[in-house]
Amino acid sequence: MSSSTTPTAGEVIQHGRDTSIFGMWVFLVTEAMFFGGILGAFFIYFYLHANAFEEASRHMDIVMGGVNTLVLLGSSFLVALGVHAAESNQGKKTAVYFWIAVLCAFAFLGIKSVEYADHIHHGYWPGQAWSYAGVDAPQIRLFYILYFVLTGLHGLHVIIGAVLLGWVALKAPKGVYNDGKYAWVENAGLYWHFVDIVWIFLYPLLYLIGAH
Amino acid sequence: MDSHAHFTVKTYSWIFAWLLLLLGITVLIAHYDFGRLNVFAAMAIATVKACLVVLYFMQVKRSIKMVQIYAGAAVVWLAFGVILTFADYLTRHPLQ
Repeated sequence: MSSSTTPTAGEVIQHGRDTSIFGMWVFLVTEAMFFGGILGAFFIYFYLHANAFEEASRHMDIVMGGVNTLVLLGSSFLVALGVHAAESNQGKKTAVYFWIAVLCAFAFLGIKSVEYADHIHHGYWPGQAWSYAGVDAPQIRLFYILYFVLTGLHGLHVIIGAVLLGWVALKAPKGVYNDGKYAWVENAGLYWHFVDIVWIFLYPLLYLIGAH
Repeated sequence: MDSHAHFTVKTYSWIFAWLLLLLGITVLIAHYDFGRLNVFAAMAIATVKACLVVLYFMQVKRSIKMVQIYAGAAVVWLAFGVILTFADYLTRHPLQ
């Protein structure tokens, strides 16, 4: 910090960036509460109907879910590198990293769509066409309701995250985020990392609880 | 201010490598039957992964104190919500 009472231009920019990023964190914490509530519901029903939830989980494709986890972890790494580039005024580099992350988002959604199509084909959509035979059918249906709500909301966040990353990637090469004014690069990145964190919890809960 | 120094590409690469390793461990553990411990182990590893993402990729480790306190408070608040709800469900028995 400068000893002068008048802040320097650099300090003003940093203060603005800190404030903007704090605002993003306030928003992300409300998002965490939102997903936390649904995950809490999942935990309770898993506790009450453990065997049925494990059986339902065995219908998930561990490999497809695993590949999607790799895709999201990789995209998070790329976004971290993109923010890192913006910190040193390398807008073009930021754009490249962010565009590849957007491709990862499309890959994730593509794989998820294949999985959804497979679930619906097998009659696991918990609507009118629900056709599961077995003693635990109502509890398994509950698993699928939570599965579609959790992954559906997560997928919506993937779409929003991809739009944010793409928007930043479009503007970054023009140098608008240079000289410390990269708050929006970091905020879009923070949103994407949040999307990644939600999936880090969803993958073991939805795909792996019945693997043993 | 040292704590505000940017992370290096090397640091990010190490964190990514750790995340991949932890993902591998998660999938491996899930294939062994430890009873109810399975889900606890999976959630513990997921929490470690989330912490790595929050501290390094989201840069909370080098953020201003206000962001650190706010992110920490979110974890505590979320834990209150889940633990108190569970305290109810775990101790609820049908009326005789």
